Amino acid sequence: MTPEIREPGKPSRGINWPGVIAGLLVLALPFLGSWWRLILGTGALIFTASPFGVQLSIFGESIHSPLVWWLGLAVQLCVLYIGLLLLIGSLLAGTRRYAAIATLLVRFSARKLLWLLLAFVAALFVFSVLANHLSELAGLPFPLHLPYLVGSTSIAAGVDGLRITIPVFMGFTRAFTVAVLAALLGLVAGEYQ
Amino acid sequence: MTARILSAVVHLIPALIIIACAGSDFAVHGWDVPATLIGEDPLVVVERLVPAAADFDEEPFELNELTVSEDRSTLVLDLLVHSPFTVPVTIKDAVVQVALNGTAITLRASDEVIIPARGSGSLRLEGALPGLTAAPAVLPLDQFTLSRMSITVDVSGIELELESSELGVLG
Repeated sequence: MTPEIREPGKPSRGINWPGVIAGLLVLALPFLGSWWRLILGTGALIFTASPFGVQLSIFGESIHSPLVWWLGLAVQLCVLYIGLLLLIGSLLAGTRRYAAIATLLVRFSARKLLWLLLAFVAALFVFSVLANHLSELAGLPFPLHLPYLVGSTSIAAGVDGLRITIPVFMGFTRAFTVAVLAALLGLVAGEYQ
Repeated sequence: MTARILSAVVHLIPALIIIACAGSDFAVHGWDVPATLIGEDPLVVVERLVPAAADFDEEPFELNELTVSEDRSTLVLDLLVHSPFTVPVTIKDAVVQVALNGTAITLRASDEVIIPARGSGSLRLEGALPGLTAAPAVLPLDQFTLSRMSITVDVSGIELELESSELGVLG
């Protein structure tokens, strides 16, 4: 049975359209693929990441952790749940009868994606910082200068007649742009509500 | 009251999803912690990636023959290259310096060569041959001393440049 919460005397503000759009974008996010990628060479190593999982492929061989896969699935389900709540809450905002439930649902879900996005970018930034200090931490015989989050460079190292040059590319994908848009619209939806 | 219950349920569901998924992972892997965390044995993955010396008993380079072009102006060295890599490799450049009776001759790869994964490919090196108009069409390899060798290979965009000097007699 659907819980019925009424706030008599408080008029409906109409459908929360930013919330509706944000909800739909959030629902699409788990199906849009990775948010960030790191490529060494032309595909010698491909590392893709999103809050829904990480994938590592070295010379075409995939390496994965079951726990990361299951946790990625958990985040996917949570994001779908948040998107659904945001969509339902934003639509219910147009009714007087369920206005309070709508407020509860939108307030709960509106900023969640933004936090997820910030946590993801912060984790990537920490990864970039650690990777840039890897030569000092691991005592590598060559300096390692990688871009922070976005960019391309080339790592060169040489020992005893062997020289290796590795082009490095890292960057965000279109799915990340959709996530940013959805997070911003969620923020607007929260304020609107 | 209803609002409080609804709020509690709404907040609780994500936590339940995460716990259920982590629990499912352990249950699927028979509550074996290493299998749950790592999955496949990393050593098996490394064995697939890194060419094992035991599986690859061929020398990387096999000298076929050293010939002289019809007009006696070019020395041609044909090599058979065996790749231990599990991915295709492109030989972008190869330079070999050989010495014949004290005369240094530089041979360079005429074209890029793609060697299939764990396969073989022919590499042809050519160089100007100074003053050997009376040379036979096929020269014995042991007359030549390999003084320097430089090879540049591309493995999935990663460029490896190997350089060796004072390598000894070709044959």
